Formats: sequence, C-alpha cells, structure tokens
Amino acid sequence: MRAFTRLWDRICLERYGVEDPKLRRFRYGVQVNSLGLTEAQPENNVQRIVLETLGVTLSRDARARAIQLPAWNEALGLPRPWDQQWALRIQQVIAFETDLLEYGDLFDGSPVVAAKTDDLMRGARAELERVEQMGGMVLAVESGYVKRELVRSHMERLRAIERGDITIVGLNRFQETAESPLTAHAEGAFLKVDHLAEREQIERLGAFRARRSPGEVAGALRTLADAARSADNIMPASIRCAHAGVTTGEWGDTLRGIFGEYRAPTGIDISTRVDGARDREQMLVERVRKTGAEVGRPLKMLVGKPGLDGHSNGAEQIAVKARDAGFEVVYDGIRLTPRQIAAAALEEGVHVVGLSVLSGSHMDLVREILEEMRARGLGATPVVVGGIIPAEDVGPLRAMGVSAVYTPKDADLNRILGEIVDVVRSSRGLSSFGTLA
Amino acid sequence: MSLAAPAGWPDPATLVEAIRSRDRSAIAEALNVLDDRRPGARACAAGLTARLAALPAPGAHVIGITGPPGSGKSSLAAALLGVWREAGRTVGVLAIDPSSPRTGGALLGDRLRMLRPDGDEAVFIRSLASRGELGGLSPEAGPMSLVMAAAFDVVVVETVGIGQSETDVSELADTTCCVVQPASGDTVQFLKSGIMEVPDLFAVSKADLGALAERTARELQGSIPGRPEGEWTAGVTLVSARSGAGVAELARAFGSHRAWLDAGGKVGERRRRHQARWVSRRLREEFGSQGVERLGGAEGLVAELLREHGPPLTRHEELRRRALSLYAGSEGEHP
Repeated sequence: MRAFTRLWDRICLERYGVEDPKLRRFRYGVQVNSLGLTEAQPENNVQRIVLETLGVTLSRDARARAIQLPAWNEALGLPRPWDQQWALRIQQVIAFETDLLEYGDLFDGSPVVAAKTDDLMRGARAELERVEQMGGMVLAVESGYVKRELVRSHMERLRAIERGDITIVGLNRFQETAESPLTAHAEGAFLKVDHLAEREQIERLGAFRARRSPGEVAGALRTLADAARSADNIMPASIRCAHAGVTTGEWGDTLRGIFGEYRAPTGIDISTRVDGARDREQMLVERVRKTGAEVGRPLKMLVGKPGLDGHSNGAEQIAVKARDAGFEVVYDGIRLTPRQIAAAALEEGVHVVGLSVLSGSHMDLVREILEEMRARGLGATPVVVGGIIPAEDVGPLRAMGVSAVYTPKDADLNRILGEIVDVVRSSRGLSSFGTLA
Repeated sequence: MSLAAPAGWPDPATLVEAIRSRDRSAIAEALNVLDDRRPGARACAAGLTARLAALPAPGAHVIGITGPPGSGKSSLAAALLGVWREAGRTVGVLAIDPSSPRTGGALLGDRLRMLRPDGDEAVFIRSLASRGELGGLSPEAGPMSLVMAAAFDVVVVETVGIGQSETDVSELADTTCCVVQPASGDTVQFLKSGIMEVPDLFAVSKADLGALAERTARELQGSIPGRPEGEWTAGVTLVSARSGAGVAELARAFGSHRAWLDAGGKVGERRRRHQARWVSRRLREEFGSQGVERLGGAEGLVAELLREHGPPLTRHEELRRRALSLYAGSEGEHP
C-alpha cells in the first residue's frame, strides 16, 4: 500500500497537475480479501486476517480509512453475527489496545521497505504502460487482457500450492489436527439460512409493490427509458423512480431492455505452460482421451455459474484445468439462471455439468437446475457441484442426484478432474479408473 | 441400401420429423449422433444425413462467418442474432473454436457473447472444437449445418482463422462473410494473395474506431476483383457490434446475396456442389487418394455426383460400400 500511495501521489501530480499534496493523498477503504482463507483448520484464518490487517494499518502514510475484515469461517459457510463480531473486534483491539495510532510512519527510513516499495512501483508502472499501449483500461478490460491476467495469476498460485512451492499451513503442510471445538458443534459453525426468509422477503416485496401508485411507477419507468434511449443523464429519472417506489429489479430490467446485458470476458482463454509431462497430468490427459474414444467423441463439460454471486475463481480454474486435461469446455461466465444452464447443457450436448456456487443458495439453485435438466430429458447427464458447501448439505445434494461435491479443502485439481472422468464413465456404464496415482 | 438405424440408435426418419418441428432435444440428439465416432453412430449418421439432404430444399439461409482471431466475429454474430430475432426469424448457430493440438482440449467461449434472454427457444447454439483441423472446420460441420437448416430460418457457422478456413466454410454456406478488423494490413495483404474471391461479403468490425476502420474498408473495397454484369460482387460493410451501427445493413446484405442466389436458382446448385465435394473429401479421408482414384478420381466423382438428379449426400453410403467392396471383395461389409 506504500507503493500504491506513492504511485497515486506521483500520477496525480504528473498526469493531472494536482499541486496540493493533501489532495493527492490516496484515501481508501479496504475489504481484506478472503481468497487466502482455508476450510482446513479454519481457526488459522484468524492469524491470516490479522496479518493482512496489519498490511493496511501499520504504515501511517498508507493506512486504510475504513476496513472490513472477513470472518474466520467464510470458507465454511456464511458467517453468523458472532463471527462478524469477532472480525470487528480484531480491528478494535488493534485500534484501542495498541498505541499504533499515536506515532508517525514506522517504516520511514527502513532500507528494506524502501527497496520493496520501489520494486513494486516499478512493476506497477510497467503494467500501467502496457495497459496504456492497449489504448487504456476500458479497452484492456474489453479485450479480456485484465481478466486473463487475473485468472493466470490465480492459476499459478494454485499450481504452486499443489506443488508445495507455497506453504499453506493446514492445507498442504501440517495437516494433522486435533478435533476443533469451533466446528464440532452439532448446529454447525456458520449461519443457517432460514428457508422461510425467502418467502417472507417475497411477501414483503409484494406488499410494498401493492402500496405503490401504479401510474407513478409506470410514468417513472417511462421517463427512465426515455432518458436511457437519448443521451440524457439517467440520474434524475432514477431518483424519480426511487420516489415512486420502483424496485431495483424493475429499474435494472428497463435499462437491460435498452442497453442489453454486459457479458464480461471470462479470462479463461489463457495458454498454460507445459512443464514436462508430469506423471499424474499425463495420466489424466490419457484417461480423458480414452474415455472420449469410448463414448464416441471428446469429453465435453459445461461449467455453470448460477445465481448472483460473482465469485468466479473456482469455476475459472476448473474450466482451465479441464481444457488442459483435454476436455472441450463450455463456460458462459457468471450470473446465469438455472434455465440458461440447462438449455446450454442440452444445446451443447455435454457429458457432464459442473456447477459452482459460493453464495449459500446451492440447495435451491442445484435443485432447480436438476429439475430444468430433467424437463429437457437430461436426467442421465451427471452433475457435480463445487463451492462453499457445508458438510451437512453434501448428503442432501447427493440424494437430489448430484454425483460429487467439492469444497475449498479440495485443492488438488488433478484429483477432482480424475474423479469427474470417472463420474462420466459410470454415467455411461463404463468401469471406473479409480484414484489418480 | 438400408437406412434403418442399428439397435440402440435413434431412428433417422423419426428424428428428422422431430428436427423439422424444432424439437430441441431431437436437434441436440442429432448433433450428438453426427459427432459420434462409434460404428453404430456412423450408420445412424449416414441415414440421418441422407434424409436431411433429401428434404425439399429448406428455405433456411446458411451463413458462414469467418475471419482472424480477435476480429470480432462472435460479437458481430451476436449483434446479427438480435436483428434476426427482432424480425421474428429463428436462428441456429454452430460456433467453432480451435482445439489444443497437444491435449485435444478446447475452450468454447463464443456462446458467452450470444447469451439470449431466459427461455428464447427460437435460438440454438452448438459450440464445436476444430479437433485437429487447425483453425478450420471439423468435417461434421457440414452435416450439422443440415440439421440446423432443417429446423431454423437462419443458420450461422462461425469459425476462426483465415486462409484455409474461409474456403472451408464457404463449402457449406450459401453466403460467406469475412470479418476484418481495422488496421489489419497483414490480413488484407493475405486476402489479396488469392482468396479475395471466396467471401461473398466483407465486414470491417469495430467501426467505432472511426478513420482507421474506414481506411481498412476502402483498402478492401479497392482489392475486390471486378465481376462481369450479373455476377455477384462482394461489398464491404462497416459494422460496430458495440454501437450496433451497420449491423442491420449487413443483415440486409446477407438477404440481398440470398435473393441474388434465389433469383438465379443458384441455391440448390451451390448446395449440390458443396455436398458433392464433401462426399469426395470424406471418401478420401476414409480410403485415401488411392481409394478415391479407384472410385473414379476426385473430379470424376464430383462430376458423377452432380450429373445425377438426387442430392449427392444421399449417395455417400452407397459409395462407401462400393469402396469397401473394392478392397474387401465382399459387398456390404461394415467396418
């Protein structure tokens, strides 16, 4: 963050000519990311969260203005109020039980920190230069460059974890553990979504809509549509919509009807390094090829991301890995409806559907997709599910017809893909290959 | 010659009827069968292809869209899809992406851009991997386009690449459009070196880039060879999938080309020629050039197929058997 803050300061001065140093100060809020949190030995996530928090608080010159910390159990399920309180208390302990806030910048004058900062700035400048040469950030996003780099960097991290080049305590080292009292509780260690909550919310929405004046709502939406079709600012029309009680759904549908829907590049069209024929990978490729020959054509998989959560890392990594293993992979990006996914499974003639859900609504979404697939005569096409799936939901998902369930503790992509090949084989009456040695 | 399906495979006649009524499961199943290499599937596919080829010339317009990677083909196809759907036309799409030569794996990402509103059953998109035909078409694309043509008003075959693949896609389409992106002088040079005659239409994408796009369009326009009176001359349309500019115009240009073909009674002729070449190619894949020689040579075969009245595809299975008997000495033996 020191590098970021310095870079921001320079760019504001050099490119935009902001003279007042106070106006060049980078003021940021941060949501410490939960990417590094593990499902294995989840209590260790607390240390990880504290360390990441120090990263955005220790240096006064680069300190965050607002912080939101993840909860220790986010790789298990949705955090409960108590888990969120724990995350909040971490900040409060740092703020009120230490004297951190009483001093100037602790890192000033440290040659180690200065060298690291310079190094990061050089890297960032080179990247900015690249984006500039592509015609700016908008074009870099649209061309898929930005997303591809994200997917690539995440993939490299995962493969380094797989190889053991990066140590993740509890996941690929020091896996042995005593039973945790935090997760041993019968009622689980995360928030249970009350299934009545959805119905109650829908009833509340219905009641709210019934109270509105239909004439005002229709008028406000018309004004919004007119503004969107012309070059007008849509903000005044949107404010009128809010006063009329237009819902965000109605507002969004109106704009979607005019502008269409943006489908972001998925970034999975990256080339991957061939680092020799490592045995397990070679064996996996061979199994995919052999199974394809036995079923008459190369194995084809649909990777589906239903619902509203945008956490696409898992889906992307599975899609890239499956491609590298020899699958023909169809991936349509995030936020698809169960009907869109079932329709794609039919149109594409896939051998297996892999779904990724991290929003907690896996039970409903998976049930709907299976129903939509059966309605299209795809009852025999196997479905596997990955995501933040609590252990107790695995049984009910399997009972619904799901062939396999994967959670963040399943970090070995070769194993997952090997199992998916066997899922396809058993759905076609072929004998299983068994565990990838 | 029997066209009955072997046990365990769908009956081609029933399947064709269901395809014509736009039964989505039947369309999917037919495409799966055509893609399937197992002997039973091949026999079923042969029956299916023959029946589809024998259908009264479907009114469907089969369109090939090709061009180099990154030229904006799938965005353009998606924009055209919108125009056709607004006009109430049904659309089938075959989107072809390259396979990895190393593992055979492929990422099929074109449908992402063509995502339709929930439940638009008048559109059907099948993605295909090129499977070793680098940048080109898989041999099954031809028969698959027949399935689509039996069910939909417009059939789009979208394929990446430049050079061989233009010629390939033009061998199954009524109308072929080559998409070129602005400031791609190399592409234009390449086109000029011999395949400028192949596409029926050119589209310069990303017209929102302004002068750059216009310059490329002028350059292309200047390289299109002149044609005698009454012949079709390829035009250049500037299009922007982002703003929608030029998309309706391009859709009309497709319509004009088809109307020109129709007026001269050329659609049937074009399709027969495509089919004859496909049969000859397939026989060569299966029996080698020597085998084709023994059947009368590639040119002789095409000429023979075109001389006869029926659709050339319906003769494929018979010619295969003839070739097999030449080798095995026993008529009708199945591999």
